[in-house]
Amino acid sequence: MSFSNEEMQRYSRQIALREIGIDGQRKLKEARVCIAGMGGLGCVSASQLAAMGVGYIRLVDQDVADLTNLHRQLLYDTPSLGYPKVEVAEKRLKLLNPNVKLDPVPLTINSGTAEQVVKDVDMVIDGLDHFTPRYALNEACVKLRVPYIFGGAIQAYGNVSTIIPGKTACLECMLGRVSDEGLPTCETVGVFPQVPTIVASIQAREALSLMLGKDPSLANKLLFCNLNSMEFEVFPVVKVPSCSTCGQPIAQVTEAPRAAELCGKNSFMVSSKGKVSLDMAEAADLLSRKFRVKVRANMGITFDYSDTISISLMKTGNMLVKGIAEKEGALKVYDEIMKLLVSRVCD
Amino acid sequence: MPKVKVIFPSVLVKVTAGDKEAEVLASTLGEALDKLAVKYGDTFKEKIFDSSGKLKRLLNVSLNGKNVRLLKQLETPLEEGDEVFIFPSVSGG
Repeated sequence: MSFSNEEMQRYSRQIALREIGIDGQRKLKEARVCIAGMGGLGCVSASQLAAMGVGYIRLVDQDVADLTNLHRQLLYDTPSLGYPKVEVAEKRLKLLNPNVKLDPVPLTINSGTAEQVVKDVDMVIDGLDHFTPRYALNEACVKLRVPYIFGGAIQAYGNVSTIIPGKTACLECMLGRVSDEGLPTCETVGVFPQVPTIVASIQAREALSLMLGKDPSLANKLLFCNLNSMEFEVFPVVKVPSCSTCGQPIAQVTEAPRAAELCGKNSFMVSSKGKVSLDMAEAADLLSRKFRVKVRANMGITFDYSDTISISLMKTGNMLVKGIAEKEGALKVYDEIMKLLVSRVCD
Repeated sequence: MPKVKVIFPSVLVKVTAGDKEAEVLASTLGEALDKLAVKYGDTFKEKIFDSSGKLKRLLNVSLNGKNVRLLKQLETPLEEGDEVFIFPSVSGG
């Protein structure tokens, strides 16, 4: 992919950056990004990515430009009031950089449309203003394995986190399922225009890292910014196995029947007749909350079930129960442990 | 009883007498937050709990990074050395 003289000049100040260079600029030109929501956040991220020469930008929003938007949504102006936001944004961005392919989509994002919004792009940048469509987007991104850069802005506060499906906490892991009902909105409590500008700029920088093939800074982290005190705080967030969107159960057992064979004096090897798959790291964390774990290995965990009974649990679900005289007792212990792992830590 | 560290966000520091973190002895998250409510008073309690005694919706609490909404909420058991983070989430955009 080559660049015209006009493009070389247009992007010269970022090609000069050690982090971008001509190879990076090429990656930007090849990138496909979706901006979901063209309000205070989306206007800023779309403007930055278009100006930087991202090859394809899908702009999704259901709304028309309104007078109450204009203090912070700088792609819209007084003559554009009443026009679909994505149509106005496309025209403005085309003037900003005619090299970029823009795809305006006047659509409401919900669980029925989210996959269509996310399809065939390299990443999605959040420009939404409620949790309900964000959860729909999060689910579609997890399903189609599309990175999702979450952002939120209200009053003097902002959030940003970069979600990489399969690798990081998703939106639900991070925040749980929060209902929008009765929550404050920009309409009810206001928003400083500087907040979406800062949040969306950070989102765009995270997107740039992904486009360049670099690790984003806010993976498994949630940034909270407070512009009243000018404090930026980063909190760790961790993928939760019990998450209904991205979680995998610690233990998956396809068939209930199990067998126990005597394996030395007062020892039984209990195995499932079905297929068992265990997430050993999560299983060890969970077991250590109830038992003394002595060995945490990739293939097995050994822990004290009681003062007299020791258990070694293998990744395949095989369980060596030592210190028990009866087969029925070993099966009972097996069932208890597997039930603990399968039910995980959900409510 | 396990000793855990609770880390507060900047927006709560005015109700924690300027403390950015606190150590507390507690067996469950609810017990830890109740002890902190006794230490810091009603203004802290009002910032953390809603009128029904649940965690406020836009306030998140994580245990070593795992959101307790996906664990056992206030019943989540604590262990020695656990880190409890309190952090706000932001909805608008």
